[in-house]
Amino acid sequence: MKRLWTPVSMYWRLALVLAAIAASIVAGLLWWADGAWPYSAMPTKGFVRTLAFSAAAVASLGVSRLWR
Amino acid sequence: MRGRTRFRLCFDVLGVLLVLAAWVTVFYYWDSTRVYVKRWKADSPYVYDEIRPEHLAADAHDYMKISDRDSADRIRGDLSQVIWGARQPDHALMPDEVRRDLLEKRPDTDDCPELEYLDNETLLRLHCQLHRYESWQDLADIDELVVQVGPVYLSSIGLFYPRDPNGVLVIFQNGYASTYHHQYRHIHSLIQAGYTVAAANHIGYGDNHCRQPNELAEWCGIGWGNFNKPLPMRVHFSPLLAAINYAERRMGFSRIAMIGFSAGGWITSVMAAVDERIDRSYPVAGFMPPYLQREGERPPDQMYDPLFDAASMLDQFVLAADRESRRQVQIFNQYDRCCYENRRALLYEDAIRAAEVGIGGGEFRVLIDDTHPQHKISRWAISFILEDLGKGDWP
Repeated sequence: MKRLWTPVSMYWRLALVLAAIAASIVAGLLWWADGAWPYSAMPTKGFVRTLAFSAAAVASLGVSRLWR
Repeated sequence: MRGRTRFRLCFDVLGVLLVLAAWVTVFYYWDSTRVYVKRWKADSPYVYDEIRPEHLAADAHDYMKISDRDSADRIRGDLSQVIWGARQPDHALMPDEVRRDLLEKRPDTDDCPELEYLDNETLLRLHCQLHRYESWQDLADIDELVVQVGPVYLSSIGLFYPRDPNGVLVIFQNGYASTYHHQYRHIHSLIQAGYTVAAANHIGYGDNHCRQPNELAEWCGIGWGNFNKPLPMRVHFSPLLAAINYAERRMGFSRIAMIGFSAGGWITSVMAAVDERIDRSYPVAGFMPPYLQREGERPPDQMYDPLFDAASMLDQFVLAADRESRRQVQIFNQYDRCCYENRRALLYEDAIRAAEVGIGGGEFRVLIDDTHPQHKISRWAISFILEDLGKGDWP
C-alpha cells in the first residue's frame, strides 16, 4: 500500500516527459506537414493547445523531480 | 504521508493528467480523428451522414425553370437584368484604376499597422501584405485593379502574374471571415502551376470598402443584406466583370476559370451562370439550394430575392455549364464545421446533368470532400481543381 502512494519513479517520470514531448512533435508534424493551414491535418489551435499541455506536463513532472 | 511526498505526488498526478490531455488534444484536433469526434457529438445522424427524408422526397426538377436552349438564354438575360439592369453583362466595363507592379514599386505602408492591429481577419490590405508574396520564386509581380461601384464603394482585385504563364486566368473569390491573403497557399499553388490569378475579397473585406463612412451602412451593408440601393448585386459582380473584361481585352485571356470559397462559392456560382466566358468554375462550400437548406444556411448576401426569382440556384448551376466546352464542379465538405455539410448536394446532381444534356451543355459534377472536418478548401480539393484545370480540354 505504501508503494502505491510513492511518487512515480524516475523511469516513469522520464517516460512521461518523453510522451509529452512526443505529443508535441506529432502535433507539430501534423500541423506543418503539407504546408500548414489550410493543407495540414491539424489546425493551429490544436497544435498550440497540445504544446501548452505538453509544456505544462514537463514543468509539472520537473517540479516534482526537483522537489526533494 | 509526509507533506513533501504528498506535494510531489500532486505534481506527479498533475503531470500524468497533462500528458494524457496533450495526447487527447492531438486526437481531438487531428482531422482524421476529429471527423469521428464530430460525428459522435452530432445531434442526429442527419447532420453529417444520413439525408433527411424530406430532402430525399424532394424532386430537384420542381425547382428548375430551364427546359431548353431558349429558356436557358432567357433566364441568363433575366439574371443579368437583375444584377446590372441590362440583358447582357457590359463587356466594356473596365477597372477605374490599375496599380501596377506592386512588388517592384513597394507602395507606402504607413496606414497598414493600425488596420492590422484593429482587425487582421478582415482588413488585411494588399499593399500591406506584399511580404507574404515577395519570396515566391514563380511570381513575377502583382497588379491591383480598383473598381468603383455606385458613388462610394471601392473594390480591389489583386492580379498575380506567374513568371511562366500558361495562358489561363483563374479568379479566386474569397468569402466571409477572412481575406484571400489567408488563402495564400492556394494562390501559390495556382501560381506555381502557371495560372494568372485574380484574387477578390468579399464586400467589406480587405481593400473593399466604402469611401465615406456615413454611407457604409447603405453600400457596404449590401453584403449583409441591406439591399436598399439600385441594382445592389453590382457590388459583388461588377468588380469581377471588370476584371474579366480587363483580362480578356487588355491581356488577351480567353481561358477563364473561377474558384470560390464559402460565400465566394455562391458568388462563383452566380458569376459563372451570368458570364459565359467562365469555362471552368469550382464553388467550394458556398451554398445550398433553399429546398435542401437547414436552418441558418442562407447568409445575408444570398437573400436578394429578385436574383433567385430570375434564376433558381439549380438554374444557375445549369447555366454555369450550358455549353459543351463549359464545366462546373461543386465541392462540399461532408463534415464541415460551418455549413453545407452532409452529402445532400448529391441529390440534385443527376437533375442538373440531365438538364445539361437537354440543352447541349457541358459537364456538371458534385464532389464530397470527407478528408477533414473544417470549413476550408483542402489539399484534396485544390489538388482535384489543379488536375481538372490542367486537363487540356479547354475550348
